[in-house]
Amino acid sequence: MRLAVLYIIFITLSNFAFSKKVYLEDFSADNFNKEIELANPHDTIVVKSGNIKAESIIIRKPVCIIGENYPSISGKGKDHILKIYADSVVIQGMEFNNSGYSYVQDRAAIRLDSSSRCNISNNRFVNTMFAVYAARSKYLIISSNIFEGKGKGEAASGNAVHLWYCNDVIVRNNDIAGHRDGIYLEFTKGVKISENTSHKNIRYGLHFMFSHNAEYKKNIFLNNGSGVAVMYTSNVLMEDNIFQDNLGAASYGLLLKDIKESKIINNKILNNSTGIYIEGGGKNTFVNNIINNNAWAIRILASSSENSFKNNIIVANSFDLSTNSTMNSNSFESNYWDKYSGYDINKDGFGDVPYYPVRLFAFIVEKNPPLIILLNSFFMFILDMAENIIPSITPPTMIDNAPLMKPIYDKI
Amino acid sequence: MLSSLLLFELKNLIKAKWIFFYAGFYFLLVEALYYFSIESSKVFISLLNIILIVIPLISIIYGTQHFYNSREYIQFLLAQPIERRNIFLSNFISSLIATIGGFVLGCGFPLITHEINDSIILAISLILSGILLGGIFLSLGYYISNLFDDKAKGLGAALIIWFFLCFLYDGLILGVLYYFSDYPIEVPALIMSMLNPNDLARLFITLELDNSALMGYTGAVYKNMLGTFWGIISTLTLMIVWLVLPFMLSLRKFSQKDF
Repeated sequence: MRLAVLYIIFITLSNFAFSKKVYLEDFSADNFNKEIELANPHDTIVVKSGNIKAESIIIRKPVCIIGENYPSISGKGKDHILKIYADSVVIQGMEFNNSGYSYVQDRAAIRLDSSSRCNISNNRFVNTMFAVYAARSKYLIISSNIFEGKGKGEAASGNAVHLWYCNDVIVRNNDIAGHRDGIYLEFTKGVKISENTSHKNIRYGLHFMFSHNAEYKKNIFLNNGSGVAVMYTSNVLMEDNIFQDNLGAASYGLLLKDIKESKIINNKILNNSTGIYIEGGGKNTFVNNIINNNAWAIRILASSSENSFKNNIIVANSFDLSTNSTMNSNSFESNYWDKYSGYDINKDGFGDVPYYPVRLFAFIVEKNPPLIILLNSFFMFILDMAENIIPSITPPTMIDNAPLMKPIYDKI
Repeated sequence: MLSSLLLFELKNLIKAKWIFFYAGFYFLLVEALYYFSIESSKVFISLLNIILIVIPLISIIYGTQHFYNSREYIQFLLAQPIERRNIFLSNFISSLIATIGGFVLGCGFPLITHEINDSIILAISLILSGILLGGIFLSLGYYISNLFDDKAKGLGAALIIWFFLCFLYDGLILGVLYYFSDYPIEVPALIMSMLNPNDLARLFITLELDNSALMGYTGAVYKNMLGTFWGIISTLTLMIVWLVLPFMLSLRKFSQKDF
C-alpha cells in the first residue's frame, strides 16, 4: 500500500518535473516543425484543428502529438509525411492524407524506423500509399485508426499496416479499406491482432510471412480481392475471426501456405470461393469453425499433412472437401456435415456410419476443372452415390468416423 | 371458337381435380423442406433437383397421355366445322395451364412468400426455369404423341427422351470432357450444355445458387459467358426455342394427320 502511494506521488511529480504540455494554436507547417524541434523529451504537443501541407517531418525524440478535431497533414507527394526515429512517440487524433504514390519508395504516412513503444491511435489515414510502415520496432500499439486507401492496382498501392522485422506489436480495433494488403507482416514475431475490420482491400485483408507466435482474434476480413493469405509461419492462433465474401478466381477465405502447428478456432468462414485452402506445412488444428456457403469448404493439397479437424460445422457448400491425391494423413473427427445421411441408433449424437467428405465430383473437378459445368447435375449426384457405396476413386482415408448428427448451433 | 373450346377443356381439368393434387404435392414438399432444413440454400438444392427431374417427367408423360386420352374427343371435334389449329391449341394450352399452373400454385407462391426478403432473385429464377422446363417437356410430349399412334410406343419414347435429356446427356458431356481434357474444352462444353434444355435450366439456377463456385478459376469462364445480361437473354431464348420448336412441329403434324 505504502509503495503504491509512493508510486502515485512519484508519477505525478515526475509529470510536473519533466514534461510539459504545449498547445499549438496556429497550426502551420513551420510552426509544427519548430515545435517538434523545441520540445523536450516526453512533452505533449496538442494541435488544434487545421490543415497543413507538409512532408518529411522528422521526430527524433520521444514526444506526444495529440490532435483535436483531426487536424490534417497532407503530403506533397515527394516523401513520407512523418518519419519517426525515436522511442515512445505518441501520435493521436491526427489525419494524414495524400501521401502520393511512388514506385521507388515505400511511401508512407507514418514511417517508423527502430522505434519502440510507440502508440499510434485514433488517427485517420486517407488516400495514403502505405499508412503506417514500421521497421525494426518493438512494442508498438496501433489502435482505433481508420484507413481509407484509394489504391487502384496491386503495383501502385501499399499496405495499411506494414510491419517488417518488428516484435510484440498490438494492432487493435482499426478499420482498414482500400489498400493493397490490409495488414501485412513480415519477420514480425509475437503480434496480437484483434477486433480489426479489414475490407475491400485490393489483395489480401491480412497477409503475413515468417511471423511466428502470433494471435489473431475477433477480426473481420470482408470482401477483399483475394481474402486472407498467411504463409511460412508456425504457432499461430486464429480465434473468433470472420472471413467473408471473398469471391474470385483466386480468392480464399483463409489461405494457409506452409503454416505449421497452428490453431484455427471458432472462426466463421462464409461465402468465399474457397473457404480454407491448405498447402504445405501441417499439424494444424481446426476446431469449432463454421464453414458455410462457400464453393469449396476445405481444400487440402497433398503437400500438407497431419491437420486435424474437429467439431467444425460444414454447411451448404458446393464441395465439402477436395484434395488432389489419394494419400492422406489428415484427420477428421466429429464434424457436422450437412450432406451426411447416416443414422444414429444408440442416440449418442454421433453418426454410426462414417462420412466420406470428398465427393467423387469434387475429386474429378480438382483434376479436370472444366467439369465444374456439371455442378448440380443429377447425373453427378448418382455417380456420387455409387461412389459412396463402392468407393473406388476417392481417398479412402479421408473419413469422418463419428460425424455429428446435429450442428452445435441450431441456425447458422 | 378457340375460347369456348378452351373453356370446356378447363372445366374438364377442374372437374378432374388432378391439378389440385399436383399443386398440393408441391406445397407440402416446399413447406416440409423449409421445416426440416437449417439453411435455405439446402431448400434450393432440393428444389433444383425436383425441378430438373420431376417436372420434366410429369410434363412429358402428361403431354403424351393427355393427347392419347383425348383422342376420341378430338376425333369427334374434327367431325365438326372447327379449324384443326384451334382444336390443337385448346388442348395444348389447357395442358400447359394444368402442369405449369399446378407448379406455380404449389411451389411458386410458398417459395416467394418464404424468400420475399432473402433470395427473391433465386426463387424467381427457380420458378421461371420450372415453368420453362414444364412447357418444353409438355410440347415434346405432344410431339411424341403425334408421331406415334401406339400409346405404348409413345410412352416408351417419352421416357427415353426424358432419361436422355435429364441423365445421359450429362454423362455424355462428362465423357467428352474427360476424353478431350488436354485441350481448352470450356467453350465446347458450354455449347454442348446449352443444347440441352435441362442443362440450360440447371446452369441458369446454378449461376444464382453457387455463385461462389462459378467464380473459381475455370468457373469464371462460364460465369462470364452465361452470367452476363446477354448470357441470360440467350439462355432464355434457347429455352423458348426448345419450347416453340416441338410445339410447331406437332402442330404441323396434327394439321396433316390422318385420324
